[in-house]
This record gives sequence, C-alpha cells and structure tokens, in this order.
Amino acid sequence: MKHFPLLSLTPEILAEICENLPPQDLYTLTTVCKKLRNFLWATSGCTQQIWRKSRSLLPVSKFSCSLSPPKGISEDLRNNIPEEVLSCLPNINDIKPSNFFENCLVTLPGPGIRDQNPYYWTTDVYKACREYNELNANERKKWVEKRKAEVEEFNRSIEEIKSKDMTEVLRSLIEGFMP
Amino acid sequence: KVKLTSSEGTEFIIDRKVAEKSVLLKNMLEDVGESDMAIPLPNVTGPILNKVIDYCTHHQDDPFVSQEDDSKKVSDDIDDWDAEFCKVDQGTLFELILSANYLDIKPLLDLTCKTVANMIKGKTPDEIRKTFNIINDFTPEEEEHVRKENEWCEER
Repeated sequence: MKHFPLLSLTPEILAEICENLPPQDLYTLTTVCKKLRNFLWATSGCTQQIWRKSRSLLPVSKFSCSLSPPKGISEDLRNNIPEEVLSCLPNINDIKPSNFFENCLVTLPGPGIRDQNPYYWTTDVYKACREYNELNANERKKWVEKRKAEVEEFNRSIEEIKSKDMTEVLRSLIEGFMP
Repeated sequence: KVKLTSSEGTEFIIDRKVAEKSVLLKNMLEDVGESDMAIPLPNVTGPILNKVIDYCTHHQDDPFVSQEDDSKKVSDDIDDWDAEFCKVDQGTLFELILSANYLDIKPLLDLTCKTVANMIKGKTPDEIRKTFNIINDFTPEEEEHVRKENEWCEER
C-alpha cells in the first residue's frame, strides 16, 4: 500500500492539518519523530498559531478559546498544567493592571472560570508543577490540601489589608519606621 | 466554458463558474478575459483534475468563504458527500492536497487536511508511524526523555 508522505508536505500544509488536531494528538505527534517534534515545538508564529487553534478545539470549560499566545511560560507547560495545581495557586488579579509586572505574570484559564482568566505568578506555576509532578497520587492529594490551605490564608490576609482603611495602613507603616 | 489541460495533456472543458472555485483560475480568467486557449495545469494529473472538478461542480453554489473566516472551520463536520469524496487511497489524498493548495481552493484544502487529521486522531505514536511510514529517529535515551515529558497528558 502506498503511504501518505506526511513529512514531505510544506510547513504551511502541515500546519493546516495540525490545526484540526486537539492538543492531545499534537502531543502524540511530537513523539513520532524529530522532524515533527521540531516543527511543533518551534517558537515560530506558525507553530503558536497551531497550538492556539488546537486549544480552541477543546471544550470551553477546560481551556478558554480566547487565550493569548504564551507569555513567560512555554507552550508545552501551558497545555499541561493539571487543574488541581491551578486550584491551589494564588491568583493575583489585583496586581494585573500594572504593566510593571507583565513579565512575571501569566494568565491561565482557572478551574471553573469561563471568561475571566486569572493571573498567576509565572514562577508559582513553574514551581508548583515541578513539585506536583514529582509526587505520586497519594502524595499529590496531601500536597493539594496543604497548598489550598496556604492559598486561603493568603487570600484572607489580602482581604484584611483591603478592608482596612488605607490611611490606617499607611499610619501603621509609618509608625513602623518611626524611632 | 473554460478549457483546462492536465499534466499529460488531457483536455477538460468545464463551466466558468466551476473553474472559479479555484482562486488561481479565477484570477487568471479575470486577467485573460474570454479566450479559447486551454489553461495548462502541469502540476495536476488527469485523474486528480477529474476529482477536483467533481468537487468544484458539487460545491459550485456554496458561498465563498474568505481566508480569514476560519471560525466556522473548527466546528463543522464533514458531510456525507465530502466524506465519500475523501474515500481514496493515500496517494490520491496526497495529490488532492497538493492540487487544492496549488489551485487555491480553500474549502477543498480544508476538507483534505481534515481528513488527514482524522487519520492521526486518537492514535499512538507507533500507529501514526505505521500509517504514514515514518521512521522513529529518536535514540532510546531521547525516546525516554520524550516519553517523560509527555507523561502528564498521557495520564489523562
């Protein structure tokens, strides 16, 4: 039987094909051979477009269609963050409007959130994923519980600061510096 | 009416409306105007041109979808006629993709690429290699590395 010479296609046509595949199948393709791997792991606009379209094939609840291309986080990781991990990271939407933090922040579709994707510290995401992936299923459960408790604590202290009158916060800060 | 000649010199006479499904031919016809001259298509063989004409004839009344408007592309499924049309051997499918690309017939390119994508969907790396006759050129160490990297998604 004659085989379909997939690898002899031009990048443009290969991209057309890949854009019809959900991320899971794109991943499989990256493990087929070096040529496909290099093609799908490139940082070119063409490759990013493929992953973006691929993500849009997923049900909305899992990954939002409006996701922007990666910024500060690699494509492969972005597609592989377990929801469980995201659910126990502090999201920091309050800081977001400041451009100053742009490079340290990443927006990811949070669990159960449809239109508004929360922002996370990029380093948080990396660190959490690394930790999480080194654990076995049992340890993961404990890890998630522990992290969730930490996040709650974090959120509580943020709320506390917010609820206080600003001048009061300033006064306490200034007092802290007074001799 | 428009005359086309395939790579072997076989002549095809088709309606202008059918020919205009191809952006390449449409532009050519607009430039040349009415002419009895056959348009040579040295990149397309007779049997493939025959298939392409079948497709364009069946879809001649479809509205033109612009290049940028691909929001529709994602959701729509392949209809029965198109599915039947794509039941060809792999060599023919490959030729159809190249011709659709060359003649600039976007819907046909979409359809054939989707068909190839369906040949990939849900398969293991080994099955994909077998389907497309691709040689696994990773060393055992590299393969182990690759496998580890992809572990997360395989668990799901």
